[in-house]
Amino acid sequence: MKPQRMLALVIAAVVAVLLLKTCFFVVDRGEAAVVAEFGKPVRVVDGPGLYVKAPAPLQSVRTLDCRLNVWTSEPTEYVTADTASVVLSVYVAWRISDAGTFVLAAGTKERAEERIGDVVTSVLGRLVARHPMGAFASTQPADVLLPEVLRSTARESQEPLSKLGVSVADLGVVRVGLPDGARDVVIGRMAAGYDARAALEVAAGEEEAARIRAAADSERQVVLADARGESERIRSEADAAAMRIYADAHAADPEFYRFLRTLESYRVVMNDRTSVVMSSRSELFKLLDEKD
Amino acid sequence: MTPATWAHQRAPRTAVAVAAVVLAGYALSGVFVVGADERGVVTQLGRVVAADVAPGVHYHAPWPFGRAESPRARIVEGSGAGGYAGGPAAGAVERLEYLTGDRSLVEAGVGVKYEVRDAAAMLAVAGDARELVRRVAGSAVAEAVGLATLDDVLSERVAGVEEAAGARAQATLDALHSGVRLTAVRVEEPRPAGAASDACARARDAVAGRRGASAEAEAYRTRMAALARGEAAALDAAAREHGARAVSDATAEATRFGALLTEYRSDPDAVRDRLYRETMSEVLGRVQTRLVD
Repeated sequence: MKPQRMLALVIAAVVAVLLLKTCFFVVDRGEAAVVAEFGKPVRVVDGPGLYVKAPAPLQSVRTLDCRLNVWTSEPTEYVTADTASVVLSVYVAWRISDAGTFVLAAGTKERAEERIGDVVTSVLGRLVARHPMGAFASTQPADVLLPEVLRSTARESQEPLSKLGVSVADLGVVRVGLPDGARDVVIGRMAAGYDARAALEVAAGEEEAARIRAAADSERQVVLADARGESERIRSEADAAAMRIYADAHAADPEFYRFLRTLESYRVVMNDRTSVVMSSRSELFKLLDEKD
Repeated sequence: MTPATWAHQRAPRTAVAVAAVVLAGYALSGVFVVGADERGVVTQLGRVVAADVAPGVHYHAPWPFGRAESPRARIVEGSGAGGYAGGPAAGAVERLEYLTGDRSLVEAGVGVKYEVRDAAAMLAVAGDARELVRRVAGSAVAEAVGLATLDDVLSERVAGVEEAAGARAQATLDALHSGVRLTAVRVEEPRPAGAASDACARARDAVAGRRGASAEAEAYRTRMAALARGEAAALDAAAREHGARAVSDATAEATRFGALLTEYRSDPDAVRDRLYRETMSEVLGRVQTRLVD
């Protein structure tokens, strides 16, 4: 075989394989494929599997992810029925429900989300305006209509979005807030409430502490007074007992007792600072004399 | 053998060996590993052929026919502040302000913990199922907070808010056939929005200060009670000691008197005289004495 012929055969084989390859395409689960003939969609495939089409460039295929996308809106201020304002940011879980329509009407995910944003914002604005502020924040479950507003927004957004081949699976809120001015007012009110609570606590604490200290002091005085009374009772009983002992003893000879007491008195009364003047004829002097 | 003839003989064998290695490599592209905490899903030409592949080494049809994905079986996400900070996607969730039912503003993160019950369903539901779960949980939290008071959200009653949010989020995720089961939705580190947070901290300090002042006063009371008991005991002891001494002194004197009396009765004058002299000698021995004639 001549080298030139060999080369031509190889090239032909490669081209054939490449063309053949463009005749097959795989659609994954969660995907849809749009087959277009010279750019015009002719067939939509939305089940997973291996499919056959005419070779390029007759037919081209574009696969689309039909699983949920989550788009999140910027926080936007909406006016309520009672002319208050609420700032809402929402998310929309959406998917391509009709790949053929989507390719023609929206084209790309970005353009679809731009449109979803417009539709959802306008529907939400209209629905929020029907309800007072209490529908978005209230401790009465019966008053709160936020979940219902979100459900209605999803439902009412569906129709215009169907024209894009898009369906809304879920619509929820990312945050519920207030515009700056109202936010400052609320935060100021909250701070004032906390400061008042703090002042109250400090005052109550001081009062409680003073009360407890006063009670402690008076309890101590009561205990001491009782103790003093008891101590006096013990002392006086003992003294009485002692007196009885003395009296019983001395009753045996009161005269001798008086004599002894007198002697005892001399001992106590006369000390080293006492001067005694006595007659040399006295009995006492004789005592001294004897002593010397 | 010249190098040329060697090459001539060996070339076909080399080609066969190379082809075999390439083929083996291609066949090996079907090997995949499912980790211990993962769920495997195998698709072949787009169709799911194995929805719940157990952890281990497995094989699927080689490229481009087969494909395997293995999402984590348990996912934890949070704002990184308190709660689920240790989760693999810590910080993925922003902290936001929410309007409470009593029209206050609370700032919080949302943490979420969940199990992938049906990995195939989770992979099929959304391009980014984790973002979907975060948003659904966040919305449920915003709605639940909108029904609660600020104090509810800041106290342990936040558990009720979390429970309501968890139930609501699970219902939405089930309706979307997400294959996900929430195990916890948490309101992470809620605090009053903006400057109110500092004021709240001051109020909390004041509560603690009040408790501290009371506790200090109670301690004073305990100390005073103990002191009073001590003083009372000292008074009592002193009184008893005095009493005992008075009685013992009296008894001692009575005994002494009794002894003297016995002696005295035997010879009154002599004893009387002796006692008088003894006393006087003692007394006059220490006093200054002046004599007058």
